[in-house]
Amino acid sequence: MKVMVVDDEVEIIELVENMLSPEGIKVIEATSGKECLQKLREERPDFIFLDIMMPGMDGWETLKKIKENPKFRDIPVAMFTVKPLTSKTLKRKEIDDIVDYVTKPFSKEDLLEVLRQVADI
Amino acid sequence: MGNLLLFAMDSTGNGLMKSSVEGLEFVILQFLKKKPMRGFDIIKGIFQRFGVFLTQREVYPILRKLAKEGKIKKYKGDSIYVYSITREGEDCLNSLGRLGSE
Repeated sequence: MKVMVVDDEVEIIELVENMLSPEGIKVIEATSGKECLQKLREERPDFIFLDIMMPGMDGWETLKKIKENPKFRDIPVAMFTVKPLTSKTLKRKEIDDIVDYVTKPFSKEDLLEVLRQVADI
Repeated sequence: MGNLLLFAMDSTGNGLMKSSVEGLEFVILQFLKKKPMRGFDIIKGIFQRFGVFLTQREVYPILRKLAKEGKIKKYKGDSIYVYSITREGEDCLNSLGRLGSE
């Protein structure tokens, strides 16, 4: 399984890689929304963890661009966030485009639980 | 998780489940009785209905447990698993509801 992690904090990407690599999951790194869209053209992941708060193109905007592209639209995306789910977040129309919402800090088991919703791991 | 006891009470009107896990099972079965749902849809539904944001680690293991017990079944939707209630799950929901009203 290949998972793309999009986060401007490299430490978060490394943390996810350390958590998932032992499970045989390959992690593709991207430190911005722009890099995410570039790398998607090179290598297609089975799943994307996408941070909401990023400088420049934020997570929601990146999500919109992913879903606008017919080639990437069906890749499941979960958002990373430091903020818990709120009624305001639920009212965003993009909420229907994500398959999960993971709050930081997260554990390895949190990530695996999310990935188990798309694959038998 | 203690609030889940309140879920069960609220759902049945006057019932009280034995444990918070049982209360959450009851709530999940009630949601799935209405329509098949993805895991995150259940988390969103609980948040909208009860104002509590439960984590994946609280909800998804219960989905696995219910599936193992045959009360729900999962199938692959577009790219993600979707859960639906089974006859056994509906029977369980009815018996829990009866317990709640006793």
